Amino acid sequence: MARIVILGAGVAGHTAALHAKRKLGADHEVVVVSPNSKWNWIPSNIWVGVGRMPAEKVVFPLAPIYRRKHIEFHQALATAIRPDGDAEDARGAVDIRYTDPKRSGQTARLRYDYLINATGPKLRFEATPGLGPDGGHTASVCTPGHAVDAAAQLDDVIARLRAGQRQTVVVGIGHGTCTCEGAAFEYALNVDHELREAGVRDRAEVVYLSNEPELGDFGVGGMVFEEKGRRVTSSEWMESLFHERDVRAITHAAPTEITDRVIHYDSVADGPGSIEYDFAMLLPPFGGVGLEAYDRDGNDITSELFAPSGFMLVDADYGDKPFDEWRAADWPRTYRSPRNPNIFGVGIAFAPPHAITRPARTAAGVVVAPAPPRTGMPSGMMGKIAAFTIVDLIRQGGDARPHEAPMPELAAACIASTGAHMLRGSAATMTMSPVVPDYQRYPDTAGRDIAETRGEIGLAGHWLKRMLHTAFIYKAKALPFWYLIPE
Amino acid sequence: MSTIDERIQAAPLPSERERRRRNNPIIQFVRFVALSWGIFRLAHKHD
Ligand SMILES: Cc1cc2nc3c(=O)[nH]c(=O)nc-3n(C[C@H](O)[C@H](O)[C@H](O)COP(=O)(O)OP(=O)(O)OC[C@H]3O[C@@H](n4cnc5c(N)ncnc54)[C@H](O)[C@@H]3O)c2cc1C
Repeated sequence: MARIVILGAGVAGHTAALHAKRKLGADHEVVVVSPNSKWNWIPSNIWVGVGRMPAEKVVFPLAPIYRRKHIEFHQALATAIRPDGDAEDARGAVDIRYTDPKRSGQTARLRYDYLINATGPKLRFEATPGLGPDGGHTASVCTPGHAVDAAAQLDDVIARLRAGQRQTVVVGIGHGTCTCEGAAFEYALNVDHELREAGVRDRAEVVYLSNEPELGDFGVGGMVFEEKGRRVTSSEWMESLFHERDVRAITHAAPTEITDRVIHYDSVADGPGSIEYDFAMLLPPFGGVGLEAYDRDGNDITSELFAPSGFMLVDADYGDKPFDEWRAADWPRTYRSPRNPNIFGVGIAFAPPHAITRPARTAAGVVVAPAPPRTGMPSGMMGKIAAFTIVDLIRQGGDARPHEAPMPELAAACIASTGAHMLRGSAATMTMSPVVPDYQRYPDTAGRDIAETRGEIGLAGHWLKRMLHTAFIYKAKALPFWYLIPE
Repeated sequence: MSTIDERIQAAPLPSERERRRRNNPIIQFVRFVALSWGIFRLAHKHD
């Protein structure tokens, strides 16, 4: 009987656990370690953050689902990986510290035959002084709790606007190396929508603050669409949307310090600047969750398994080369650790080999470098193929051919909500193929297949996003035929 | 080179026809079906 341990129960880890168990049945053990008792459909946190959806609608408890599926669940934080085992047992092991109220603080060592690291991001609010809801001055929508606080602050802004005051709302990124600009963009336009719905938009200024060199870059180098026989760049598309919505923008910038009234930033083109705000939602930069690694004798081998960022090294080309020399082929295909092929790093947890958007610095040396996003669809795919590879290794032995999900071949759909309402809502629906541009293969269309890279704004996008909310929660609850819903 | 705010101000606004299209429930229902199918196909192609 083989034992698969999966660290993390987010998009990638939960998908991996459900697929592994479905394929392996009762013959093998699937174990999930995750610190939260609940699963969260993170994309809908945006709607919680503007008060359009209660937090209970974006979460559900994991334990009953894992019980029903006969998956062993430890509500705990993984702290260290011991890929070579320890003095007592040569099998790989993971050290965990329980977070569930009954065993809080207790530790344990779990043995594994195969390990999937799907621990997602550490939210590094500490990277910019004054950033974040805990001890800082800005809101976040990264967790349901953060989003509830953001909605309360937005309510206060609306109340002050109704009382006749002017207000400035800044939405964007909280550090030059942030990713997930798409989520910040969604929140900015949802705030705009809510202010219009409340009839107070004329007294508010909405500002989008981003590290992207131009609007519509999203950390993936932007896109080119074909619209009515004409090529349009995602930046032209977004500039038009911002014009329509009267949203201002500060691009290619990095916040450097945030006080309770002012965001100080440095920008590549214009140097240092600052903006006064009444309410700000700024996303944090992401890092790995800080897992350590030890060999059999207890020596620290963290740097053999993880990049300095804390993300896991997998089958990518991490060679130190100039930005202009990177190739699509540098990106991982199987997500296996080169040191230990029975360990996989999937979703946000794997270390990308390089940036997709050209990194820059301000005159003062502040880094402005959007990190590559690892969105839901590719993260789910990675979780699934890691599970399938393990299933084949168990059934066919070590010669089994690994499954692949390379981001320079995978497509992604990004439905960026620009206002939640069944009749007055809208969203920018974008599909891109591949996620990581391949400039050799598609030299004339910004590295992407123009037939599969599209953008469209309208009410249909809102319905689509709402449908995906229901479909993915259905799937994550492992209700009948869940596996027919694609990642 | 123009600043980002100048570029935003210079960007074309959607025509009245386009605006109506984006909000028309019947047209949007057709787009909803087309977009859902497109995304489903894309996801399955790479599944
Ligand atoms: C506000 C917001 C909106 C977004 N909107 C979209 C969108 O519209 N579309 C889209 O495609 N993507 C969106 N994304 C990105 C999407 O959420 C991620 O791509 C996806 O969650 C990545 O999945 P993951 O499994 O790698 O990480 P996560 O989903 O974050 O899961 C990580 C899991 O690991 C657990 N964990 C953490 N530390 C440990 C540890 N030490 N030991 C064990 N477990 C641990 C966590 O509790 C969690 O369960 C959005 C992101 C944000 C922040």
